[in-house]
Amino acid sequence: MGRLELLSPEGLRVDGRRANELRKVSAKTGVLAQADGSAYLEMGNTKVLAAVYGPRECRMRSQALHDRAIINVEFTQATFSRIERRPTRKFDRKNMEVQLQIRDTFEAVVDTTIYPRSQIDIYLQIMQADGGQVQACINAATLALINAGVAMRDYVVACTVGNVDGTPLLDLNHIEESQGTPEITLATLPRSGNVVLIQMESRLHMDKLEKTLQLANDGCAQIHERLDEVVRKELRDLVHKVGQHSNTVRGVSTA
Amino acid sequence: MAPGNTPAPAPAPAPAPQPTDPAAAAAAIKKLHPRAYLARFLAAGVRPDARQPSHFRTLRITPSAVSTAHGSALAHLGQTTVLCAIKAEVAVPALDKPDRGFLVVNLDLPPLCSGKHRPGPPAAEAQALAHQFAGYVESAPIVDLAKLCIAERSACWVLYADLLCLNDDGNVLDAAVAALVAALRSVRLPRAEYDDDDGAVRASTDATNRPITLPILRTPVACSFAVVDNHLLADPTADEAALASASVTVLVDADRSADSDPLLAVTKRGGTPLSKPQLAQCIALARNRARAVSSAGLLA
Repeated sequence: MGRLELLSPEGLRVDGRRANELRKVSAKTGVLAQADGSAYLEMGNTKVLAAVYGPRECRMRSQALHDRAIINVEFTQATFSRIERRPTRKFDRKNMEVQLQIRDTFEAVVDTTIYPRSQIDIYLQIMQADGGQVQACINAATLALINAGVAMRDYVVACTVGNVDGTPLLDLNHIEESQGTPEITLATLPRSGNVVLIQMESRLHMDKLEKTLQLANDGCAQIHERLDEVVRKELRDLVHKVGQHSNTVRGVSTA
Repeated sequence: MAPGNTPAPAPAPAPAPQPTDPAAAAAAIKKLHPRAYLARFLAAGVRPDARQPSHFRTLRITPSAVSTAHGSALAHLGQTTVLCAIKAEVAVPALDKPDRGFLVVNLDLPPLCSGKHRPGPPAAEAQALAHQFAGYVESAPIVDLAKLCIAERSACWVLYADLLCLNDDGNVLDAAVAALVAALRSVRLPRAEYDDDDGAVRASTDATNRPITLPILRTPVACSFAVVDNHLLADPTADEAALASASVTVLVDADRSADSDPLLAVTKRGGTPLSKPQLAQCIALARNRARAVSSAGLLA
């Protein structure tokens, strides 16, 4: 079987996007009443639910650090999230690797020193997988941490980018990912532009790297804009609600 | 939440106690004395969420919530949310039932759904709940497994129903049963043909063939009750369940709720003893609930 044509002569991809186009990003925070912070994020058909519990008392005393909080990440993919059913296994190596990557990413930005002897749990559940699970998880976790009110130095936004015959492609879907395309997952801090996580597990020519990374940076900027919009909108709604509530408590009619 | 690193304000004389927000005061009592808080409500014949003791929360179903599955549904019972997605695979039938398919259910309560579940292997309670749920499905089959047979002795469908609790605000079992029934009703399987020559199962090439839907044998509705200080509370929330000394689950067939034999299962795993009239009340309330759910057309 020949390789699928990932980029048509007209410059369109398998799902009809242009090379530098993101999939539709939609997000909502505060979706789970039980969690301290939560977010639901869709990037095209990749859908992820993130919940943050904490900062709370360490479950295991021996793990507690006297000067800062520990971050614990659990990443699971629902059995029905892919085309083929795949039973979830605890201690899946791939999952463990993703867990560690995400934990280390957030340890760099969460201000852990103001929550000594406590633990922050980040639970990530993939509901539907269509490529770019790690980037979706990082973006959803950022929103959930903000929703939980955990102190952070900046957003962390992540984006994947691939390269097909010299053309960088933004935000790969599952079909593009599975064709052996070189793929980079990049997580940056939008304010400083610094890189927290970069992962490329395939060969890519040095000359193409800069252009590809540039596109990834642009993608991160776009995602940051979108996430920021969600956070600001939901905060405005909250302020509005609190205003209404305090008016009713004081007996002032809001009508 | 820990305080920020702002400098501490200069010590000032303690201010006179201000009249506090009554909602904040109630929240504080709820946190510090949950049992007394609930008892005050129950003494007045009402529950903290304004329900009567015998009232259930509103059930809402979102069908076909997962596009990668053959059938799925999201059930909300108040804030409790359970997602059920069904994937179909081809397998060889069991030797003793050569003309039957399989339905494999698995209920998972990940740590995501509640602050009381911790990472790691599922807690005993979650395991027990999943086992109880699987037992209900086995003892009262919802679909006709004979319909899942593709070729006798050679090929059949196996339906994997994976249920995921997304938000545990009490009574996950009732929501899970509703999600499973709704998901099974939404299952669409491709028509498959078994090829005797090479033993392969292929999708039917006839374009006029419509996908298979599953005939539903019965519509079980689970109704759980919690016993708190000798009050019987229908459909307990997580806060109520935490204070309960016993719980009862009644499984009723909604299609036969008007007949004399709607009962499918009754479970009470120890705890405070219940009097016979109380148990009869549970069953009567469960029948009413099943009738209400079926007349609302939620599981149709």
